[in-house]
Amino acid sequence: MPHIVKIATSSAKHLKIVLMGCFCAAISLPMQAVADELGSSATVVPEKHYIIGGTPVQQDSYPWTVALSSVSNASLVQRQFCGGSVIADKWILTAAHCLFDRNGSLLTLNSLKVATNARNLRDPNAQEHVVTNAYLHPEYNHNANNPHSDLALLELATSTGVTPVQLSTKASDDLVGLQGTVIGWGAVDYSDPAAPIFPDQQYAVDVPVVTLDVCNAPESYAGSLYKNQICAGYAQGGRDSCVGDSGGPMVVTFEGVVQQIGIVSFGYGCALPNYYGVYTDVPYFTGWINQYVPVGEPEFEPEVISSRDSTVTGTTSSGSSNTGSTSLLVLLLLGGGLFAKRRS
Amino acid sequence: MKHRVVLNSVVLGFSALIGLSACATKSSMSINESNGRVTLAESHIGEQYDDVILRATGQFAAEPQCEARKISLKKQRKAFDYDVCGFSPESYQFSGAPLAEVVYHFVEKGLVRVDVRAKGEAALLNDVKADMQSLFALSTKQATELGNDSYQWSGKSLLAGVRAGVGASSGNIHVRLVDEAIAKDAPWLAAE
Repeated sequence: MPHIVKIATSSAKHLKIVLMGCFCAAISLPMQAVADELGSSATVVPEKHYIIGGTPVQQDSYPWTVALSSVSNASLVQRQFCGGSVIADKWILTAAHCLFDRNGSLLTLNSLKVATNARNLRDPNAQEHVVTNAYLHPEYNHNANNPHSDLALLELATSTGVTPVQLSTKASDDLVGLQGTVIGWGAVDYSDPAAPIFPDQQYAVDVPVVTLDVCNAPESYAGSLYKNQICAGYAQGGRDSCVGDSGGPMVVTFEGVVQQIGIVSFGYGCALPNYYGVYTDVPYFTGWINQYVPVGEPEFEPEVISSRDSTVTGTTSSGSSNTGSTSLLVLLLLGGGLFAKRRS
Repeated sequence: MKHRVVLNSVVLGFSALIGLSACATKSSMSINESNGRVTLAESHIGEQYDDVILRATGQFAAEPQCEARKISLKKQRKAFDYDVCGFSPESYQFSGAPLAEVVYHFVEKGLVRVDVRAKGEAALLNDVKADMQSLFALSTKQATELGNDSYQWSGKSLLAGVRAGVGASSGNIHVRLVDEAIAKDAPWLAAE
């Protein structure tokens, strides 16, 4: 079976590189190897670290939120490591960094699952879905000090049966001052980084969107943030997303409609004064997302359907590699990345 | 979430064989170098969870007490698996002193830290310091003295330390071996 590498480009939905015959065989092991391997501190501590400062989510709220989990015999509570949102029947929007292990290698698709209907991670009715493809934004660089363009799309093997969340198209400036709501299963107590406390139940917290200037102030992220990122939180801290919330959505309610504006990306600690939560600006990337998923319209069938085990999908423009043999793959992906151009 | 690791009978049997073999030939350990890798409690940084636990279970003829948690690395808000497994071996020695405890730390099932606590005083501290100095001399020349009978070496992508216990752990010598990368990603995990 040919190996198919899909790379996001602005000019084509998929740049397909089909590797066949002995070349295919020659790189199959490296591909598997890739797949397998695939400040300052605040002195004032807020009174409580809570998805931090939030409240438990009711069973029928935010049905389009999903939990990303690893595959093992452990409980979903232990396996859950990130969040995401359903943006079309079989499509999940999440953070690109969720798809990398601690060594900076991409996870394999078959080491990953997506759980729906899991307001409580111990709910026996939670459904876990197989991931067939993953698409990383080509400008995401996992090794960067500030890894912007932190978004990825996951395509599932099975229907979620969930009404998708609407993606906002509002410009960044129009988001400032809005009250965002962040939803996830992240830590509710981060006072001890060695032993954060994680809930079984999903939590939500309200945080206002602040200007990038505020977030780029010397006492905050000191100019390191990009235009395609948004910040939310309180100068005094106390309410924030936290460990385990990555990839999950930040939404606003605009004219009665819930719209996703952000993806949990990173933050210094959790809920610390001046260190706002940093989110991927979803409206900024609507063009890229729509290359794959015509949000709000009937889903199209991908041009190529490939087996999970033989597909390496998406890339970073400067992804890491651990071996010489993986460099070949990275070069192939980099080749595609060079043609990638941000649409939005 | 604390739990006891449950190993099936086949694995236990195999472990017991390894254990008997280990007991028959070696009941003492130290920090040393094997196949170009620095090892502490017979394990090297980066080794996989299953391999370490299987060997240690047999070696110490005891089941580990394990705790599974989730932690953060760098500024990420992704949760990473973190497992801590401790053994309290009986009749085992570390550098000639009674071994009190061995604790293995894993992130994403890879070994990132090993702690050993042995019952001993200045003589044991000096023996371990000499071993450390020998292992890291080429890369660091000398130890960093952290104060209060605490010393640290860095090199070979590792941090290694030894200190004398204080307070309730007085009379113990603590030895640690830490993945230098994890020390950057999660500084608390490399602390004394």
